[in-house]
Amino acid sequence: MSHDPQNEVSPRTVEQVYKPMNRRTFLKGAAASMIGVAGLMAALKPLLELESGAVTLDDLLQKHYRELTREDLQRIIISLAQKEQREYGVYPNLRDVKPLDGVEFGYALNLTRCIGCRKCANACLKENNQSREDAKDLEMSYIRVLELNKGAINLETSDPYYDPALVPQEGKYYMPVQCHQCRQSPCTKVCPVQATWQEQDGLVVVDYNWCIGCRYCMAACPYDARRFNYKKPTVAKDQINPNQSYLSNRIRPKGVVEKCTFCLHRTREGKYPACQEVCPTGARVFGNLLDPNSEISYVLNNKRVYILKEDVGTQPRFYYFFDK
Amino acid sequence: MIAIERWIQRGNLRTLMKLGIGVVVSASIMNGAGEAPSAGTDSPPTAAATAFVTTSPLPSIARPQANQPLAGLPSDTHLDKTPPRRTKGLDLVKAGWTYNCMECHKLFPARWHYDDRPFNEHKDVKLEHGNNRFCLNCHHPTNRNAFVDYDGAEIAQADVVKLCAKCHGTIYRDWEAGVHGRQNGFWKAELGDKTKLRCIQCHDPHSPKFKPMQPLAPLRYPPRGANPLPATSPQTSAAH
Amino acid sequence: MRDYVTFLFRAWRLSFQGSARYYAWMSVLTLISLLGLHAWARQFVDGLQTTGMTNQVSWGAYIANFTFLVGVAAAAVMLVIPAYIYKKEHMHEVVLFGELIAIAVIVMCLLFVTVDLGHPERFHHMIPPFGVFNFPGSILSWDVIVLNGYLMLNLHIAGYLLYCRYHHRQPTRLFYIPFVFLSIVWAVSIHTVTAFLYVGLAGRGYWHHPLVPSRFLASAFVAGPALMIVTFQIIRRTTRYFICDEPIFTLRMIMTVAMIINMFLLGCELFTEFYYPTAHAAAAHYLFFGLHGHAGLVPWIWAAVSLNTLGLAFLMTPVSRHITGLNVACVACFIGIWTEKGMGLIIPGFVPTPLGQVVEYLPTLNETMVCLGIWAFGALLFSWMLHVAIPIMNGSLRAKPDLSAATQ
Repeated sequence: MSHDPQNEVSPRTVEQVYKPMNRRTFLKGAAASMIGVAGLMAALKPLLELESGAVTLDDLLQKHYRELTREDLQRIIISLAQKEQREYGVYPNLRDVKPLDGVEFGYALNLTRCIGCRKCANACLKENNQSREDAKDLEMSYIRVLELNKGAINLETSDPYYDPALVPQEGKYYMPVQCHQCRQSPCTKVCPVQATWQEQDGLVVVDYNWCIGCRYCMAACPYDARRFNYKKPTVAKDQINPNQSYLSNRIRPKGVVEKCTFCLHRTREGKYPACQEVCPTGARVFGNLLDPNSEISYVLNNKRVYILKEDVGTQPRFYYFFDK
Repeated sequence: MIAIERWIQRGNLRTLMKLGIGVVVSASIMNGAGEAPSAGTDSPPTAAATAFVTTSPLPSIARPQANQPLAGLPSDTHLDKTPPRRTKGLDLVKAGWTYNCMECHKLFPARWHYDDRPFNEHKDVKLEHGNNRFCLNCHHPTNRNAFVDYDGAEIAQADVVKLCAKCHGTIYRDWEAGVHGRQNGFWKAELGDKTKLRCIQCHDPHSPKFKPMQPLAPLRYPPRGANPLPATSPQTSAAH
Repeated sequence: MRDYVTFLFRAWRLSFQGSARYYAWMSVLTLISLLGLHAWARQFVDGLQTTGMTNQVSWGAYIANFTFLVGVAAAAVMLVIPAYIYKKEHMHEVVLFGELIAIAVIVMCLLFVTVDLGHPERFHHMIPPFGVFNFPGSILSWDVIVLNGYLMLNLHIAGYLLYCRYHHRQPTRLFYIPFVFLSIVWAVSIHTVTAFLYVGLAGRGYWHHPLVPSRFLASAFVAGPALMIVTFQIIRRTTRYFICDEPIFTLRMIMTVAMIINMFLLGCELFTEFYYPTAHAAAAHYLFFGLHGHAGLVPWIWAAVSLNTLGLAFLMTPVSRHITGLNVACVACFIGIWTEKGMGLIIPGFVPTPLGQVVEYLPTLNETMVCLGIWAFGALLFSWMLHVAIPIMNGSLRAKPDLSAATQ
């Protein structure tokens, strides 16, 4: 219980504050403040390296996508296209693609036919202008192709690093996983700013200009479907796909989350997504769930279809099926 | 014998030599022409031909590249939509090749069995189509430009899909519905066309099992992840 | 209003008056804070690639520290309950310090969340009417409300009591007693809501079970009092403020009970995960024994369990009746709980990923500097608040000072 009087704030010390400020104390205070400010400036020096236009007043004042007027959105799109031209050297065909009426997208994957060639994962990188260090860097691809032993469904035993000379390997099967555009999506539920939401055609989209980068959605996703831009995306100029849309494959800023959008810049214009276009075995079936004559409806009505992690309760729009 | 000597002496030896050369030349032409439509590799002449051929074989004809029909949109230059198999025959037809199998096959009788006689042509064909042992299960016996149906009727070359449907009805049904094999282009018919691939663009009809292919480069351990395992050890261990 | 400005001015001036040791302490903390700020500025420019986080382990040291510190902040309630509900007189001496710790620690929590964001300049996207606030759906939005509310609550209570003391007048009960009782409930809620951030995620089996909030609270009520016990001894040594033994030993008792509960719950977890071999326990297996050859966290968690056991052993035995033994127990428990909650809770939630991929995590130098900078800033803030509050409590700093009186 001893205390050291030499190190306390004694009443005599305290009395100093009652006295009016004299020149000496003022100068002392001023000197101390200047040292403090100098220290602060030195600490914040890296901010000088920020690119001009990295944070503009327009960026900060931009409203949420769903509250933007058409004129606002057009203006923003033009400024984004100009920014991409400045930073990456390509002026994109950037537009906002609205959903079609009477459409709910569904996707099915035939596990009997997938051979694990990874063409879908590579096509995704190219179509969606994702950051990659070299042509073989699959980290940011929205599609993860897993190799599982026949007889096992437990994903804990999966291997995404498989690299045999030929696929498919004996005794293995291959399961690509991407965003399932869940009907009860946990990611949209947990986003604190509603930067990600479900559109009328079922797609879960992200407004990259609204996302604050907290990564709660990444923690919530049961399918590991989301990717984060830990740095400004590196995309080589000759690798850029110029057909871009605001909500899907425009080149993202750093610090935001991105995910598969079923290539909405293609699918909302009636085309197939890039992963389906390149699959050599035709394992992927995409279409409109609301159309009873579509291929996806045929699969759901005629094939042995199941859902990954059904017990979590996400009710996804991505189905897996077997032919035999 | 004396008559022959006297015929020869009468100066017909030159005629005989011209005749002999003519036979040799036409035999070698036939040999060389017979070689051209095959795989293009120089196979050694058979015993029957070597008796006549003494000169070098005729030069082989350069064959046009097989054109792959367009799959999907031309604007997708960054997407690799090549079908797994380069088809030969029907694309040559589209390129203008007059693919008339009967030009040879009108000379030679129909043979059923695949495996018990030496081939002059089609040496590259190895029949590994399930339980099929006979070429004529699929090829029409009298019109080799067509395929054969169960009742002996012809299936035209352009309708080759119907041939596959003969036995693979469920797969054909799925293909018609768009669920077997890949479709490219537009899923929404009002906005554009979709294209399907034909059976033979993925499956070699003589050896249709889908060929394993080399996968693209694997996922790498993320650059900022700690403690990566050495590249040789697989992620899954025997314990799990 | 003018009086209040004078009060603030005097407090500011007082913060520059002190002994050489005070100056040294504050300078060191300022230096570390500035280094942390520099590291964060680097991160702001280069993006979060300066950290060790990946797509697979997307939350790391920042959120780990945040989670731990919310627990420490909640522990201020451990002083309030004995003082106001059980009416233990001697606790009143120290309630204020609990509230000041809570303020400093909540500020640290808010800083940890801010440095974790990819776009901290967009935080206004959360604030209606300009922003879009996903309330009540997103638990993170609840967390924003409760943490800021708790900060306001403690600022009000501590500020009001200090200001009244500064003016040497009796505080009006209506202006602080309801808030004090509210803060009891609110303190429990901040840590429960933070626990619910994890518990609500059905896709992550390691977090999706009811023991998580229970362990959160139990471990918080060990770590918080441990910090407070050590702080009270520092206050005893460096100031003239008198703290008797009773608050310290009340806190010791609270720590003991909370640690027993925490260790019991740990035992429950270990049994549930490992009694029968199942792939559901993959994350726990990674943490305690390693998974598929990756075993980076194994030494850490066993060290934490050992420290906690040591601390509990000390607390339950007469060893901790002596102040040295108690200090050892407090330090052991604090470090053990920090490791357990940080590395033992956050990281295994991401290993393996929902698709079975195993990627390990280690913070980078830049990330560590930012964390240290925020800890130093919190210590700086708390030291400054004490430096001003104690003279007020002692009567030295008053609105109307009696300058002619002899010094005590």
